[in-house]
Amino acid sequence: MTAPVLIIEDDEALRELLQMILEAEGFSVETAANGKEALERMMDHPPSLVLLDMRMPIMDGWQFCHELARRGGPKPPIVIVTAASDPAARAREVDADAWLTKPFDHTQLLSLVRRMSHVDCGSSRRRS
Amino acid sequence: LLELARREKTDVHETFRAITEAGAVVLDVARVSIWQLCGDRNAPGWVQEARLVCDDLYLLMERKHVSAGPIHGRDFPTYLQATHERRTITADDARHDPRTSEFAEFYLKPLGIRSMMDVPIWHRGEVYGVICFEHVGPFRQWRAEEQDFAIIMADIASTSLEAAERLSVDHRWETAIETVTEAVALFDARGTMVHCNEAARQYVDLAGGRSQEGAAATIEFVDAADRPIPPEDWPFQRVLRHEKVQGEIYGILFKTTGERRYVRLSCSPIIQRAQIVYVALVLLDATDEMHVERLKRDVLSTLAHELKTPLAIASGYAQALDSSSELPATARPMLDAILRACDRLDHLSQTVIDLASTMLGRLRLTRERVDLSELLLSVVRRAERGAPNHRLKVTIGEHIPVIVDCTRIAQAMRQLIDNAIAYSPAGTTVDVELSTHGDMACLAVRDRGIGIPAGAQRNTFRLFFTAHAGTEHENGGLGVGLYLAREIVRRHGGDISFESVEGEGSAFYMTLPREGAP
Repeated sequence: MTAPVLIIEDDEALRELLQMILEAEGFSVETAANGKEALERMMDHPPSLVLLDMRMPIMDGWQFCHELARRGGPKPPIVIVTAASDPAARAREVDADAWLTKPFDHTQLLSLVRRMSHVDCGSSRRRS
Repeated sequence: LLELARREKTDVHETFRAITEAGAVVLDVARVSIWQLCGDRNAPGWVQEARLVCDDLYLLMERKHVSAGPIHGRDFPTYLQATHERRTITADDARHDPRTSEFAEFYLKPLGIRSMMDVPIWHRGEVYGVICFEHVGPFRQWRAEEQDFAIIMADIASTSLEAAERLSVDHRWETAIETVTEAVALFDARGTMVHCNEAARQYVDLAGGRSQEGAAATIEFVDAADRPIPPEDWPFQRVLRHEKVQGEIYGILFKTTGERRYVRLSCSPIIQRAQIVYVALVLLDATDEMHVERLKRDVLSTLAHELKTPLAIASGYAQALDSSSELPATARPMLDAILRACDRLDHLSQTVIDLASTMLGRLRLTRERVDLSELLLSVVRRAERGAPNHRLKVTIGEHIPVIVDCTRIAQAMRQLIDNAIAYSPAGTTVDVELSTHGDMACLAVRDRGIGIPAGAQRNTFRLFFTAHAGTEHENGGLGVGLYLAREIVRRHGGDISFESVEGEGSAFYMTLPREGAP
């Protein structure tokens, strides 16, 4: 079974929407409502890609990335999903690999997820 | 004389007393007096209405200062006329001299006065009055050096009048400056404060001193977005470089207390013989104003950000429905309307976010090398999709490499094209032309639309201004697009300008430095 795409988003409706779009295209999906929950989820199901909201309660996107870096080990590609007017700068702040702005286009989302999760497969192989 | 010259002359009364006394002693004259000529000298027949009022009369024998009653022009018209003729009157035989003989019976004979010398006192280019030397005893022929001395006495009286007036003007200004709520300070060219009002004293206390050098250690200037300003760009230094500093917002950080204040600051040089000798500085506390502004923009920006998540949900599900094969045909137009509404909301919230970022100085540019021709083509393609009833005629020459924030420049170009489409009738053509002029790339967007009314052209780039508000051409915009477009382009070192004729159309021009341009 392929590694899942992990959606970290506190808004339930948006989380479900992302899950629906990706599952309809055959991706396996894990979800988490905040960074803390996501870190727990990742222990059992290392993701091929993380879709990360930045503003969340309990543990936000910045804290999540910081914690991930602190723990070391293999890091999945991260795509931030942001409403920021300077998404590129925001992505650099947390060393994310790509960004998606809200609201997003389905085709744009899917092509990004396909490309990024594929990248991850390559890097995983290199690491193993 | 030396004593007279040295003394503080701002007290006119005291100075006049000193003059009459010194005049009487030095020239050995029985009576020396100073008179002020009163009355409107421009009125016809003024002499009849005028009078001389005694400021001081010194009697040498009695060694005392007294006063004397006024001398009316109607009683002594010849003398008053002569006084006004601005020349020294030397009447050795005062009782028979035609200029002074009017006084003979009534005044000169009873007091035993034989000779008179009257010198005009000048003030503000006019005769203020006269200083009179009246000799009692035998005839006296006034010698040239005595006349010179009398003139010097009159000059000292003039100086005193001027000094008093200057003091009074200074005092009025000082009172006005102390009263205003703005902090006002005067610095010498080395940056040491030489004068300041009460409101400025609190800044001096906070900064811990009056010198710019000292201030550098205790304060720090920041801009409206809280970025530190290097000392060479502090307002004082800028004025020394002859730059204009007027009404600019600065933040001042006082290092000792950590307090931060925002001020609206103006600075002007005071120039003498082509050299800046002083710098006048006016500060108005704008701390509260800045806080309110920031709060407003932060609230707007947060609101717009918060809108994006529900917008993503609405637009996401609408897109999912759009690709569903089970959608009934009747629902299609409804869904299209929802998708268009989502686009509009997205555009509006993005505009508000951009505006808030720009005004807070937080608009960050991520520059990369790009071919401007290619970027323009992609913008035109997207604009075409939204404008099925217009034709976009594109003229593009060579590749034009530029180093820009692609998203932002595309946004600015799109704004010009969308405006051209929005304000020109269906079926017309919009010309989009990209060319180069020297180091600059130039984009021209020309329409055959309604144009901008001449009276509105001055405000075209003003924030929240919509040229066609309240007319049939109003299209519901915020009046932010052109402002933002120009801000974006200006931050890239370019500019936007336009020409427009109402009823004929508009042409907007965007310039951007080409790669490698200085």
